[in-house]
Amino acid sequence: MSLRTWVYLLGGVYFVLLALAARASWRRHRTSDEFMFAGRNLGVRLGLLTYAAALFSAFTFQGMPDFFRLHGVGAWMFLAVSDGMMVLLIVAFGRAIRQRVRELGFNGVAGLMSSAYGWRAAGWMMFASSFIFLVPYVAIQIRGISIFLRSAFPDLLTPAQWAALIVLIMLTFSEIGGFRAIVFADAIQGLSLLLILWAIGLACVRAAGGWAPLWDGMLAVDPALGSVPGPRGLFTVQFLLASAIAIVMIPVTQPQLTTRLVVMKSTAAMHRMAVAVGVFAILVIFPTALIGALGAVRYAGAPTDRFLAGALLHDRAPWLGGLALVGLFAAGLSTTNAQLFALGAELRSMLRGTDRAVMMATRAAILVFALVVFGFSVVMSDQLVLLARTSFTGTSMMAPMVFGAVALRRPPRALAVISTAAMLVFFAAQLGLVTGVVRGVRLDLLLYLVLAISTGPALLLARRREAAAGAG
Amino acid sequence: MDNRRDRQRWRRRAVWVAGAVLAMATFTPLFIPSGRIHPRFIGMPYTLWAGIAVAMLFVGLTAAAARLDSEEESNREGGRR
Repeated sequence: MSLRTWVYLLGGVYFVLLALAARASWRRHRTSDEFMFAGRNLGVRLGLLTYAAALFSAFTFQGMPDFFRLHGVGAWMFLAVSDGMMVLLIVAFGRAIRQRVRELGFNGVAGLMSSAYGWRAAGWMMFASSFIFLVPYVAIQIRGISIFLRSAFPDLLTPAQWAALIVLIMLTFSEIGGFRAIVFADAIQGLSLLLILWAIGLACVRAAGGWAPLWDGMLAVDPALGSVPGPRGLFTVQFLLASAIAIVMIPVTQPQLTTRLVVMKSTAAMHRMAVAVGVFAILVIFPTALIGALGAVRYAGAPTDRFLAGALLHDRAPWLGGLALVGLFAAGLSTTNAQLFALGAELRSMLRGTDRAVMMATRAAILVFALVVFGFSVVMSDQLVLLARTSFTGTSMMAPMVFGAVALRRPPRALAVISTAAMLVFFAAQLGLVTGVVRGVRLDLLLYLVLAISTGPALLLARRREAAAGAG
Repeated sequence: MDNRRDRQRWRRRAVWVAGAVLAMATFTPLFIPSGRIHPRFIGMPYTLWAGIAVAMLFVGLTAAAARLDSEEESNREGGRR
C-alpha cells in the first residue's frame, strides 16, 4: 500500500477514536465544572498521558529531531534534563497548589490569583500573560503541522488551508466533548507519540548500520555536534540555564499544565504522575536524538521541511510514514486543544454571571482565540523550538506571582506587579523595543535574576512571618 | 515518634539538597564540557550519556521526594485520627 493509502486508513481510525471520545464525554458532561475540569478526578494513567500530551507535541515530534540535527547533543541538556528538574518541582508545587485550591476553590489559575490576592487585576495580569504567550505557541504547533502536511501532500491543500482545517476540527471536538474529551484525545496522542518516535528512531539506527555507526557518522560530519555549545554555538551555559528555568516553571505558569495538577483525584496520584512524566520525558526525547543524529548525516545543510519530510515520511516504510503523519496531526491537535481550552478556562475564571451565561461567553471566547491563533499561524516563522522556548520564557516571568499566591495567605500585590512588569519587558524585547542582551548577559536570565532578588527574600520573610503568626 | 519525624524531615531535606546540588552541577563543565566528546559510552558522546544519567537521577529524586511526601501526608492523617 502507498503512503497516501496508509494515511487515509490510519487517519480514519484516529478520527473514529476521536469521535468516540467526544461522544463518551458529551454524555458525561453535565455541569460547567465537569465540562471544564472533567470533574477533577483523573487517575495516574490518564493524568500521565494528558500531562505528557499537553507538554510534548509537534514541538517534540518535529522540533527536537531538527534541533539535534542542527545543534547536536546539547539538545538533550536543553530539554530532557530540564524536564527532569521540572518533575521534581511538581512534587512540591503540586502539593502546595492543591492545598491552596482546597482553601480557595478553583475555576482556573487566573481566578485563583484573583482570590488569593483579593484583587481582580491580579487575575487579569495572569490571563494577559497566558494570552500573549500561549497564542503564538498554539500557532507554532498549527504552523508546524500545516507545513509538514503541505510537504507530504503538495497537490492537496495550501498550509493556510491545512491550518484552517486543523482549527475547525479542534474547535468542533472541544466544543462537543469539553475537557474530558481533550484528556481522552491526549491519551491516544501520548501513547501514539511514544510508539511512533521509537519506531522511527529504531528505523534510523538500522538505516545507519547500527548503534555505534549512527554516532560515528554524526561525529564524522561535524565533531561539534557531539558536545556543547554545538556547531552554531547555541548551547551556551547562559542559554541552557535560562531555558531550564523557563521549562521548570512550565507547571507553575502555563495554565493548561497547572490545571492538570489540580484535577488529579489525589495528591498521591499527582506524585505518581510526576514520576511517570519524568520517565516518559526520557523515553520520548531519546528517539528524537536518534532521528536527529541520522539527519545530521543524510540531511546536512538541508532546510528543515526537507529533512522532516524525508526523515519522518519518505525514507520510512509507507506504514510508518503514514503513522508518523497521523501521529503528528494528533500531537498538534491535542496540544493546541489543551492550550486553547486552557485560555477559555482562564477567561471563565474571571467572568461573573450565571453558569449558563459564563459558559456561553467562554465558548464564544474559545472561538475568538482559535481565529486569532489561525491568523498567527499563517504569518509565523518556522523556528519551532525557539518560538516555543520564547513562550515558556514569557509565561515563566509570572512565577513569583503564582508562588506568592500558593505559599502566602495574604500575598503582597507587589509580587503580581513585579512579575507582570518582567513579563512585559520580555515581551517588549520580542517586539524589538528592548535589547535582548545587556552587557553580555541574556535579558531573560537578567530578568530571572532581578525577579529572584526582588521577590525571593520578601516571599521567604512573609512566609516565616505568617508561620510565626499561625504558631502564636 | 519524634525521632521518626525528625528522620523523615532530614531525609526530605537531603532529597531537596541533592536536587539543588545536581541542578547546579548540571551547568558546570562536569556535565557540559565545552567541545569534549570523550569518554564515549556505547558510541554516544559524553554530554549525551552524562545528560541521560542526570535526567534519570532527577527522576529518581522525584520518586524519593514523592514517596517521602506521601509518607508525611499519611503520618499527618494518622496523627489527626
